[in-house]
Amino acid sequence: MNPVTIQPHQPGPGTDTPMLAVQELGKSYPSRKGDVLAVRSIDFAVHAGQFVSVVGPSGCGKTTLMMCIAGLLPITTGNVMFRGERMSGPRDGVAVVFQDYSRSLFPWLTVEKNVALPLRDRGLPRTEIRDRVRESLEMVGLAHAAALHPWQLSGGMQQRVAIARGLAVRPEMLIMDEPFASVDAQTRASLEDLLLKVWAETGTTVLFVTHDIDEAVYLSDRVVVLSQGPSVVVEDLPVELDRPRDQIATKQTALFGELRENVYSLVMASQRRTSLSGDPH
Amino acid sequence: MSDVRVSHPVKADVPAPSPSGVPTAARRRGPTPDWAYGLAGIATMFVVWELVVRTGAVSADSLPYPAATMRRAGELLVDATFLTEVAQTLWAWLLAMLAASAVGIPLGLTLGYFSAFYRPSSSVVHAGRSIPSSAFLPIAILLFGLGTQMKVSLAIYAIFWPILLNAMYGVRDTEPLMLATGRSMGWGRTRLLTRVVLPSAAPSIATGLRVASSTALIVVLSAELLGATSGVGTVITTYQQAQRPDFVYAGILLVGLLGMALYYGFNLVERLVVPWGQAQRESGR
Ligand SMILES: Nc1ncnc2c1ncn2[C@@H]1O[C@H](COP(=O)(O)OP(=O)(O)OP(=O)(O)O)[C@@H](O)[C@H]1O
Ligand SMILES: [Mg+2]
Repeated sequence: MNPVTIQPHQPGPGTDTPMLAVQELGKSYPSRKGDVLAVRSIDFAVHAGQFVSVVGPSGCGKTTLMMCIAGLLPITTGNVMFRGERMSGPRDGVAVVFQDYSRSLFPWLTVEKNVALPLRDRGLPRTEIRDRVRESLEMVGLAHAAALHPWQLSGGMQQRVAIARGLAVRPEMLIMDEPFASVDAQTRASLEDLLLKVWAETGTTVLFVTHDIDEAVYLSDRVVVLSQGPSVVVEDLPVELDRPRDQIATKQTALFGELRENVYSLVMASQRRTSLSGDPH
Repeated sequence: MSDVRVSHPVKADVPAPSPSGVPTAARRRGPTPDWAYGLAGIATMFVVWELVVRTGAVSADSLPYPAATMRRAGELLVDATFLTEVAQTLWAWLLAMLAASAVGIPLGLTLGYFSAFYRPSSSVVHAGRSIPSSAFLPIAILLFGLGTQMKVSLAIYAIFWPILLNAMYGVRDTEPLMLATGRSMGWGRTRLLTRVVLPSAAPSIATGLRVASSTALIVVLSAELLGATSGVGTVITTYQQAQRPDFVYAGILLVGLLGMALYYGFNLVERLVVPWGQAQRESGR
């Protein structure tokens, strides 16, 4: 177990019970020509306070896996355990930031109201909701845009709104599906650093899905490498880079280069394997 | 923050000198407003009209001069009987809109929401809406006579379909990711319906109502021209029989204005009530 710099704000029941345990998770989509297997069998665990990335080639089933873990898609085989309990649907304490942020924000609500959404129905006093919304918008540097509508914002800003909405509930776990895939390189770098800062401040556990190997290594405590679809875990790699990390300094270290190469060759090898052996399904 | 997208060009603090000598302020003014284009269109129409009559392309007996028509229109506008007939037409229009929406919107939402109903119902809808309401004119006259009921029933038939279809499509087109977002926040069926499905469908419903509003007016007027006993249409037929083309055209002109007013009224309400529909169309999503 690599050292976790941030102490979780809500430690799990036992030190050895992981916050999230994915056990032999498999998922197939029904279709007219029989079921299509998207995820074969995935096993990994995330401990409280950790930042774990899942990388894999495009189409390998990352979004599917993430939706299953969030309780938004029924799983076909296996289990998802949250703090030792079997998960059977979306649950409080788990917030999700989707790959396509522009279609997960509600255009009829202002930024502020979008962020306040997950706080409704919780019996919180109005002032508390307002404070929390303000706090999460400030964390992502968007306090000034509170009264605007999502469509008046740039892509990077919309993504930050989606992140703020995830943070507003002060989730125990934040699941993010390729959240920075459709923004430019500079915005991406600053959003990555923003996420690390917020993670350090809040102590939230993060499960971060991406197809970008550099991003996965740069952000995480651990990188879970998936094969090409239907996916299995190829490797579960600890990342023992010092924190706080720096876009230039960290990426220049020998260890970063090594890890990056390691993950890269794992992904390539898994692709070769699947393409050589054809479709084993 | 510099990345706020604004719809108007942002003014620079220091105006740059204009090379062509045109004052910069004038060029910085926003795009020409819609109403200016509208006025230009109407002005052009009048010029062409004037030319057509003046050159004798159409004789002044069958098409009066614009100026004369305008004078007659002015007279009609202060004529109590004419205004009563306008009110009759609008009343029929309103009844049809209310009845068709009261049934069409809830039914469309239901048919769109439950996938089991969607396919079977859409074939019926497409068959129903391809029959013009005028096909039912004889039946409607037999059933309801020549009064308001006949006009309203024909109009309801014509506008029921666009209202129903737009409500159905509005629900069907709800973004799945928005539903997933709601579910990830623990929302159940009712909350998803009121917080995601209905607001998503609202712009489409508004479009349906806007289309229906023009269609309803056309059908009501047609029924009046074809024999109903009240409404603007009957005034026009009466003047036609009295060989007063100036009043006939004045009536037509005023009907055109009425249609235009309804259209812009609906547009305005749409922009105020469901601004997100417009915004999404403009950003091309
Ligand atoms: N709703 C669905 N119905 C049927 N098949 C699906 C569905 N969603 C995804 N799939 C299939 O499952 C596989 C994995 O898709 P998924 O979206 O999970 O991949 P991904 O790793 O997230 O890809 P990307 O990196 O491009 O986002 C693909 O082969 C896809 O065709
Ligand atoms: Mg994906």
